[in-house]
Amino acid sequence: MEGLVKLSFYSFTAASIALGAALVCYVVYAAGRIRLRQASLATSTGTTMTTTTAEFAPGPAAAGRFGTLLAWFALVFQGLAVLLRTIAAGRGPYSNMYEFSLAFIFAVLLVYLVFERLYEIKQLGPIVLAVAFGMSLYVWSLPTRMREVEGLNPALQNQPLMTVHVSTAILAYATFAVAFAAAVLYLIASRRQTRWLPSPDMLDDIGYRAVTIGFPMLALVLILGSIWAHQAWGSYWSWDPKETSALFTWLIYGIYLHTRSLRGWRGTRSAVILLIGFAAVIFTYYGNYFFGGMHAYGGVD
Amino acid sequence: MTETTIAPAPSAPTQQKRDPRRIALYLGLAVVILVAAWYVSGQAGLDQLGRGGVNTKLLPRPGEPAPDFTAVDIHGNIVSLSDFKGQPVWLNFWGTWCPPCRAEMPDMQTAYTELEPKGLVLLAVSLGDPPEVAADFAYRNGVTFNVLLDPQRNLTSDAYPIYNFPTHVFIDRDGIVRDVVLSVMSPEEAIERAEAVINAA
Amino acid sequence: MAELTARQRAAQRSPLEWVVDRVWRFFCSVRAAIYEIAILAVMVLAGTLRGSSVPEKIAEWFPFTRSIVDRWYDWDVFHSLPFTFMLALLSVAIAICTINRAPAIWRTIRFPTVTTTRGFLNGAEHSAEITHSVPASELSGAIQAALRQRRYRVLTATQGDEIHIYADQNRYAKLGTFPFHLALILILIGGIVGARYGFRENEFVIPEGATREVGHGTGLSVKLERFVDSWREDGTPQDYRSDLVIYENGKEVKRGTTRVNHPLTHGSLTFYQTSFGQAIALRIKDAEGRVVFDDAIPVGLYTSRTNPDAPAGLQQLPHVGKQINLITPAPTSALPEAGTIDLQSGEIFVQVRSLGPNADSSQMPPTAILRQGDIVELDGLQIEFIREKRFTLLQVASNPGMPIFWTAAIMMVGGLAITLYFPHRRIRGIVTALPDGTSSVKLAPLAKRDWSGQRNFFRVVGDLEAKLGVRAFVRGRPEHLEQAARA
Repeated sequence: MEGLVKLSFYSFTAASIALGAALVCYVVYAAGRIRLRQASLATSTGTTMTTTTAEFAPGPAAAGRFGTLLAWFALVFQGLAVLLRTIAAGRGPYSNMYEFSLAFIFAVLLVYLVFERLYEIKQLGPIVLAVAFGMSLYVWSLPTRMREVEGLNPALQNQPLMTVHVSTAILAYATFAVAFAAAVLYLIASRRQTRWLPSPDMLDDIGYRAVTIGFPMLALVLILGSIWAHQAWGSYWSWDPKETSALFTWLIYGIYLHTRSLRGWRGTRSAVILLIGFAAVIFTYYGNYFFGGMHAYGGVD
Repeated sequence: MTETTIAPAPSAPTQQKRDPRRIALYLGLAVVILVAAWYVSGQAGLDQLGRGGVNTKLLPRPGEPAPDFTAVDIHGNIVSLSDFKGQPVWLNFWGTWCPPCRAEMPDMQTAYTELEPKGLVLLAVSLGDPPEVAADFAYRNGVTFNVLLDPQRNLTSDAYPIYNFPTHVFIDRDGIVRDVVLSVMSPEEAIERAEAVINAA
Repeated sequence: MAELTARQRAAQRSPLEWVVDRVWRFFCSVRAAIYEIAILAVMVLAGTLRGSSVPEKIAEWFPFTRSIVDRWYDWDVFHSLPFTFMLALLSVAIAICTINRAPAIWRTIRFPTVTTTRGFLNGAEHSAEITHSVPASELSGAIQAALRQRRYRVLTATQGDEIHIYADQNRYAKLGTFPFHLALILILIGGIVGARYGFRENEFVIPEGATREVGHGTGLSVKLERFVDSWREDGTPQDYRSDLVIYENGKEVKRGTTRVNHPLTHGSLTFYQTSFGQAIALRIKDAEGRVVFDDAIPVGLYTSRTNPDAPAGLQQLPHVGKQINLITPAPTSALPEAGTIDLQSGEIFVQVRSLGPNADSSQMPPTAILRQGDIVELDGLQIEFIREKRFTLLQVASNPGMPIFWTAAIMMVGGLAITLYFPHRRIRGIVTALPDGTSSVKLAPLAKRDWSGQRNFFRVVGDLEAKLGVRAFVRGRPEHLEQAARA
């Protein structure tokens, strides 16, 4: 067990390094090559005016290729970290914020790489990987005692419900992170005619696809949570801060889907809802620190 | 639509993947990351990992020899655990300030009355109690087993660091720990566990 | 004609009909629904933040908000009338909105318009045009085959020398929205049924060895054989469990264990392990030596008024007109019960109060401090401190709304999956017979700003090109599909 805990942490370190390097590559790729062109004009009064124009070109393909490669490395190492941790603990790694975030980083990378494959674009990378890398830095900032495998509080001892409930939540949040990235890019792409960004319609579709995966998953999270609450607290809904903010998040994505299907909303308005939705996801994710409540297990003190 | 899509030609990646130099480069990159991770995780305290949480080892585990200690009992006798070598021992850690321990004391007496004829020794170590308080409580409960005193919690804590009250340790005739119980026990449960130790070869 | 009669009917409408129409339209309005959800969201935020220190921080930064913040802490948002009203409003809106959409959805599924117009096809952002050297009927057949291969249902209508084609897939998946929305309402109904016809006892306390009646007309009583809390070496909790025996009208019907996350169920009743504590077993005799109480009194559900850390308990003995009050020392041995009583660990403070109208409140009730085994005479009662025990605190609940909830949960996830993963896709087209015996076709998807729908359409076009061995004249085909078509 001790060896597995160490190996898991080592693997997570490797994943963090690969993730940081991948993020740099993706940023270089997406930022593109900015060419500055100077033009001199002779005006009628005889003076010469010099203007500088910036031109955006697709980024170096090698940066994109290395970004993807490093992201796959990060996925494998992170997956190994989660797997070893799961074996060491004999349950899903969800007993505290360290374990939960470990799994979240893995899920974000996984969902991102699947979308990169499906749509063959890399421009979402800088944003999604920044979310994952930010989470990675957060894990590094956590107290070191959380790296140990802790015994579960009796309130959390409900297998397999606990593992399924939390895994689904993590995957749902990860797809919302991809939707968020697509929305941000959409807002840029729809305002600037640039060759280096995918078409706005495709970005709009990526956001929608991500939500169609995340929304039913979040519904499942709420239902599984209710079943668990029914078993543990004797009531399937208690207006606990975390479940309430998860419901709230779900409602926002519900609005997103309904305005699309009933009102035909696309583009900017939809993208704005996705931004609000992801803010709600962050709020839900960290909610138990601010509000206490019955989900407050993974405390940082 | 056509002019904005910048997907690479589908045939290009497959050619790149077959290039041995590229594969070597990728593997090299993986090695560099792993070496860097070795250094970084070492700096971050990899060596200290794996001993906390559920891997915490405070008490001897079943199968390990029971560490010895010496304390004074409520009658003023000096008692060591090693004095009872050859006899099965039920070692209990409690305190009068611990409500579950107080509630359990009559049940322990019930169990002991049954187990004493079978040769079992019960040592109940009172931790953190003034001697007269522990003695008075033992007297009121009519206990017939040995109550040992460790008022400063410094006589037994090196051998048995206790974070949970009550804690029960069952030791066989050879001085080997057979069972550790980290909760209160009913008389029936105590008898069952003690008999397993008494009957152990 | 139809429009005229509608207008005539509108003119003849009674005020009642007008009101009904207005209300109906209010509930159908997506804008109204968004406002309702927004108001609910604000309430949810207020209710969620109530459990945190955020309002307190606001009051610290802006002292003038103090009175509002205090009222905020007092306002139990989720059980308040406005919140319930908004929930009800939203669920009515969901119901009416869904009903309102039903006829249109049914028409789209069962009676789609097969014919289309040149205007639609020419105006479409994405389309494909193919001219081929075969008669119109043959081209139409090839198109239908290609569409069916991609799991489309195809309907055709002949108008002169034109064959109109309508193809769609996953049309019945549009119905998935009904179970989904019905599920949302069912969950609310389940909540109401549970609250109305179930019951919940949040503080069902049983000391070890004692039996307590469940009440609520169940005829059940429960005995706690033992409560056990087990811990890990480092002092973190591992398990809390209660061994229970359930009696129905005095006869044992069930024996089992309830632990956190693993409740014990008997019939419609469920017992949840919630908490535990210490209990004091006493034997009390009256002046004639009759035993009036031989049971345990839980301490910790109350605390001492002079020291909030000291667990206290009380027991009424109505048939002798007395009440027993108990105080035990605060859990940290270093702190004796502050003020008047100085308790050592293991000691209890007993007070006997008289009940009833002729009780003299001016006189101090008689008190005593007991240690285990002590017997004391207080106010005509002989009180013996037998020993300490433990009690368990259970939650007992019966929720007849649960089956409704389970049904709703399944309907919800199923309905969602069907709606989202089987999108209704439609393609329209016209095959025209040309004078020289050849024919041409123009196809377009109903996929405005639907990237996936467009991609699916061009896949069908690609199939058709491959099958007929011709290139289509396309508008808006993505690059990679263009390359695939060229290859």
